[in-house]
Amino acid sequence: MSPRTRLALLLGWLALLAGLLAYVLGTLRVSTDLRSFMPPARTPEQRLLLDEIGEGPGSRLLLLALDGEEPDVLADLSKALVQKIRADQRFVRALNGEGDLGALAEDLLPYRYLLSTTLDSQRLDTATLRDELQQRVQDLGSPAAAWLKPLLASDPTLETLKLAQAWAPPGEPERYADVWFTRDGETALLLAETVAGGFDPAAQRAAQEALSSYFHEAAKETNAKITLSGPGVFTVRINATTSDEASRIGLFDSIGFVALLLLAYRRVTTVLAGALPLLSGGLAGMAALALLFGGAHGITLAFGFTLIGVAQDYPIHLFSHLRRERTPVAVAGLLWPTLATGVASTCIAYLAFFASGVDGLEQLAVFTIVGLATAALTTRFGLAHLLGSQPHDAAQSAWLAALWRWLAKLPRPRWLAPLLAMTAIGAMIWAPGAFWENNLAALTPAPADLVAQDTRLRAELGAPDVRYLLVIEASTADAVLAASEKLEPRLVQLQRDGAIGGYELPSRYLPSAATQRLRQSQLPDAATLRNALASAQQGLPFKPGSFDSFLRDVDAARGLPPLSAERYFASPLGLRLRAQLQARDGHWIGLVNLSGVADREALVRFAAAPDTTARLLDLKHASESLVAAYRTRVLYSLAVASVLLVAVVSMALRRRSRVLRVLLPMAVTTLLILAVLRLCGVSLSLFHLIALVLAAGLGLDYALFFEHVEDDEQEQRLTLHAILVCSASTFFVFLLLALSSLPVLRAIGTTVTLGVAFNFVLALLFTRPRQEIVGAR
Amino acid sequence: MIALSLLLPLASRAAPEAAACGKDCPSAETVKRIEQLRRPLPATTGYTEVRFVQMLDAPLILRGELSYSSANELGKRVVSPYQETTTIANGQVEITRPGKPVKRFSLKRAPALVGFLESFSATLAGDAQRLARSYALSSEGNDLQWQLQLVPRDAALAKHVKRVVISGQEAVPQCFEIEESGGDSSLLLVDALADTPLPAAPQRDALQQLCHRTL
Repeated sequence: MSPRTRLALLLGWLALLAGLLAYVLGTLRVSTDLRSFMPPARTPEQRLLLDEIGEGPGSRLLLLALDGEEPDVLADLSKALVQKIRADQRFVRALNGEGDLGALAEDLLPYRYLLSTTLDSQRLDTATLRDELQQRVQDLGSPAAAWLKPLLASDPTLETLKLAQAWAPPGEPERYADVWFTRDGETALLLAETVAGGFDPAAQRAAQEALSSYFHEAAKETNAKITLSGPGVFTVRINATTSDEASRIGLFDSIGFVALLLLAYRRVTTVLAGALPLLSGGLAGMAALALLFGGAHGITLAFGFTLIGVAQDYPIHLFSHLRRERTPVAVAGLLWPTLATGVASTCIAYLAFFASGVDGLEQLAVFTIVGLATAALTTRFGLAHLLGSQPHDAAQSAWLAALWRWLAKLPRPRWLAPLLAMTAIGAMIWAPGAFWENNLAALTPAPADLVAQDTRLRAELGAPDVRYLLVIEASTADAVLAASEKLEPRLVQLQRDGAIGGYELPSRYLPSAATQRLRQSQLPDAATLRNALASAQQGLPFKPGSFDSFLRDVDAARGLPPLSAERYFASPLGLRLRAQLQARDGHWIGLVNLSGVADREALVRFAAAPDTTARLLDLKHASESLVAAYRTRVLYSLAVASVLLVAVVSMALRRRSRVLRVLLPMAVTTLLILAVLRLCGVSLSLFHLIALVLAAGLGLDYALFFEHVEDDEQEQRLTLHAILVCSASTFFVFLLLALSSLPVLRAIGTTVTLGVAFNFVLALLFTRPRQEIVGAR
Repeated sequence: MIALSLLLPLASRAAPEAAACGKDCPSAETVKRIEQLRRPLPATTGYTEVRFVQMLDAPLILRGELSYSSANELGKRVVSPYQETTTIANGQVEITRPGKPVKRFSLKRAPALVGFLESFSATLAGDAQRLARSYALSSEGNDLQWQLQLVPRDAALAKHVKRVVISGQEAVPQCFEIEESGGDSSLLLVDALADTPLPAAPQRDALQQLCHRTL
């Protein structure tokens, strides 16, 4: 092919890639919410976790601390910041302690007698009223007069204040100038609840950046500093460090990889062209996701790119087999049956994932199949035409010939494979420690300093626990509220015993209809109350008629229908109740926040008691069980994939001895990797499993090429060269990942590094036809 | 001075261009009179307070002790006709009565109280400039017997406090009279006037005459 047609082909190819890139950037939405990667819920716990809570209300709370300035400046900043956050759609609520009083809406005011607990223990009789009115006289003589005077005429018993007090967050921090401060008075404290779940890094980053910019705008002329904490902050930080480290390693990897290829092929243009198939595969995979799903999960893409990394080997096979006396297209044609067998069997195996019923895995299957097929086809029908006819001929190198002869003489005992396999299985069984790691967080641990800071702020703010939650389920909202009321005395006891620091029940905001009716029945009729008030006022200086609106409100309260959840939701306090009382396909759930959980055992005992109307939800346990369920699906898919793989390889190679020679190294390698990891005390996670799949794919390719060698010694040397370059480059790339400080990168790195080493050695020992060695002697 | 750190930002918010006195500037004589009133800390004085509340058909008469011991604490102890202790610190008011739960609320909920505190503390600090920032000032009388009138400059404060009148003899203030915008008012007799015997239902005019005496 002439240089000009080759240039045209290159430009056309690049244009196509640019078009694909534009399409992907325009249509592919990358989601980062962990929930969309998870399988459908099976247990009620998982369903709550996924559908109704979104990883728990505690996980959506951001704790804010302002310091570095005078308390007055900090208090002003706190007030300004809360205003901004409340106006932002990304937040459900913002609290800093101010403005919580008198929150009962005007039209609900008569309901105060049904909402307040006063009537549970007292009656509005002469004795009570007299005691209250005496206190009101003193109030009028005290500095509180200016505050209370507007309330007195309609509310001489100050029910509205009692309600405001009851509705204040439990375990509230100290205040200075109306806003929350730490006990030492140096730091202003705020709480902000995001709409997004705590484990959605993209949405959390957006919310946290908004918070920071609001703060910096407000604090421009001060020295104040802001500190953010909470699960969302951890998520963002971990995500950033992981991607920072991954791209740093990626940079070193690329440099090393290119250097290695230059060393092997001595042509810059060859090496650059070699990047095209993988690039095409990745873009085609993403375009397929955009077309079929409209979006992809971030984890799918990360796993997917790991899996199609095997496609980098395709151009290498082509390059290594180039010879001066054959055109690149002819070489590609000769290699194609072997390459196609590898790719086709891998792709068909991935179909198993497509049938898994989990969105994330289906996406992974589509991405990988399209990516690998595209990379293989472009290598065969694109890259081969792009190459010039003056390649570096690897077959001529003396050291390769020497290496080949040495390898050919290696002894290859038949008992080696079963021995290795048995040893590996034994090691796996007897290795200490848990086989599976279900805690995804263990792979991405939060920095210790952040955790310590979070614990400190959480204690100061009395913020709800991130892990434990009580859940009430019932057919109506009112039944949930009634159950919530029944819990109260027992939670009081639990708190007194020190097992928990505090709790927040939905019935704290809205009592059940029965309780409201009971209180209503305690209200005296108009005439009785008028008489009681008159005798209570005897000898006190109140002018006659001072409390007429009080009489009217009580009379109105006697005739009210109980306040319903729907009506309460519409009031200014509605959001708070809605966070704890929600309707879900035909039934209602109530969430009871717990704070300062000190005695887990006591809490479990409490929840297990027969008269407990709520279930204890351990969010950590629920998410771990989800991960375990996920892994089960992956394992099933893997089992089906292996069967498919064996079937496809058997069909392609026909003879049983050939099939065995190809599959044996891969199978033994998988066992050996597992054994080594387990012997090193590593518990296996999803990331290890995905990396195992990649290693197996590499092993299959090595074995297929070794198996396919022709009798010509030159050809055999070229195959050795190709597999040497493939394994050396992959080994190097994943070795750097294996040396990472981050467990998640290390998991992928070690697994693949081990896989490459074992696969290469075992393919050499098990796969090449025996008679060829006889010839070498 | 009393709750200095607390009250300063309130004052500066009341009059943004604080330092420069734009209009209704106090006369040199008024400034001089205020500066004479400065007192060392800590200080304690007995007091009698008479409150006229519209809701009540007779005024409330309270006797007790005022103490302003440190820069961020004002204490007010009622001993008659009942026992009550009020502490104002860090923008929070705390009221304690025997046998009752402690009442706490934010100073912001009692704007009239803020107005009084501001005038009270600035006066006892002899800080004419600070006083002039929040109030238009005028004075009457002579060095022996004088009267200071404070009218809020800030509309937000004026909504709650109509005016504060402070009167005294030589360098000692003896009466603080706070007229609230809603019609209620209160008279605080301190120092030499603290123990003045009063009738059961004193008239406001009579009390004002007692404060201004020779004027």
